[in-house]
Amino acid sequence: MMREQELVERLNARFSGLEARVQRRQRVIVSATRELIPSVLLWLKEQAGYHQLTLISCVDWIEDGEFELVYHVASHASGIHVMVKARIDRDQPVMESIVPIYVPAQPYEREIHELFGVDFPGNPDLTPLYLDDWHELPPLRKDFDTKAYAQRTYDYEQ
Amino acid sequence: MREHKRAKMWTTHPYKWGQKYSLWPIHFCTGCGAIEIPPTMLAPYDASRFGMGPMASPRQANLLLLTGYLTRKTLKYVIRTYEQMLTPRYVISFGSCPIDGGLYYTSYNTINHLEWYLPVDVWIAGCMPRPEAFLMGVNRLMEEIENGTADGYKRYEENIDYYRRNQERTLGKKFLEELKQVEWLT
Repeated sequence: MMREQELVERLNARFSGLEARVQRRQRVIVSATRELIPSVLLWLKEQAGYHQLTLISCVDWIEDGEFELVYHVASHASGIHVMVKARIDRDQPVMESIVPIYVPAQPYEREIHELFGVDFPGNPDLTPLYLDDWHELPPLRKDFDTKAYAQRTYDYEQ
Repeated sequence: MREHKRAKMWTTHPYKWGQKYSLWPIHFCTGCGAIEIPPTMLAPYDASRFGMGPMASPRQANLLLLTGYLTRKTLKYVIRTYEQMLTPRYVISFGSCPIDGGLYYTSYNTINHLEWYLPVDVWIAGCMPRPEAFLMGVNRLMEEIENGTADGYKRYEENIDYYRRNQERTLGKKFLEELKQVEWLT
């Protein structure tokens, strides 16, 4: 069972172009490039025992022109929670699907595809999950004006 | 209403007595207010005192409880459920969100004005209304049924063009075409 410091050292030694650090007890942050994500997650799952994918979240850094995908994985043996982060281009948001590694990633990727417009080649089903008849920008992007849309659609002049 | 007047009305119009004391709310929970329904129906507040009990099918129910914010998807099912119910049918709206959007005014997916799409008989304000407020609303609805002012279903039939226009604008033409394909909506 690896503790935080040992995990960080082994990650930094194993992969180049990756920065891992301990945020606090039982919390490790890994900043990687988008090409490294599948191999880092596969290494974490197969070599370090991180069998649980807790969540995938997406952050819109509109000033930098980038989306940040955060993969939260956890280990039941050591109780450590690892956040693997990667930035992708905002104009052409494409990220390789990790469904072959973690099967529960499928609905998370589907949701991010719907609400942020990130494409996940390799995901078997990316049909809309929550929205229907949606013809606008993906609604959780920062440049989507929610208030104007709501007033135009639900609070218009009679 | 005085007691002798009420007794006279009930002997001449006995169906009103039946309508007033047999409200069957359909078990359709939307939004966060649905959590107030179980204590209202069960022992703590005991809605059976008012002749109310949850009903499983819209064909057998005559009261629609809209317990909170309505998303665009939910509104489609609410309209279908409402149109399946037999008249006289009543609508009680819970909380601030159906009135003007409330907390979710700027949301991309929740409607802001319920009365544009469906006629509402009793509004209960609050976020969320307690079961006591809900029972007050039920008492108010009973009074209105007795006075004959709970006429939401008549307003819906008279102003159907207005409601259909708003439904089309928010939910799209496709929804109305799907509604028309069903036989019982004429």
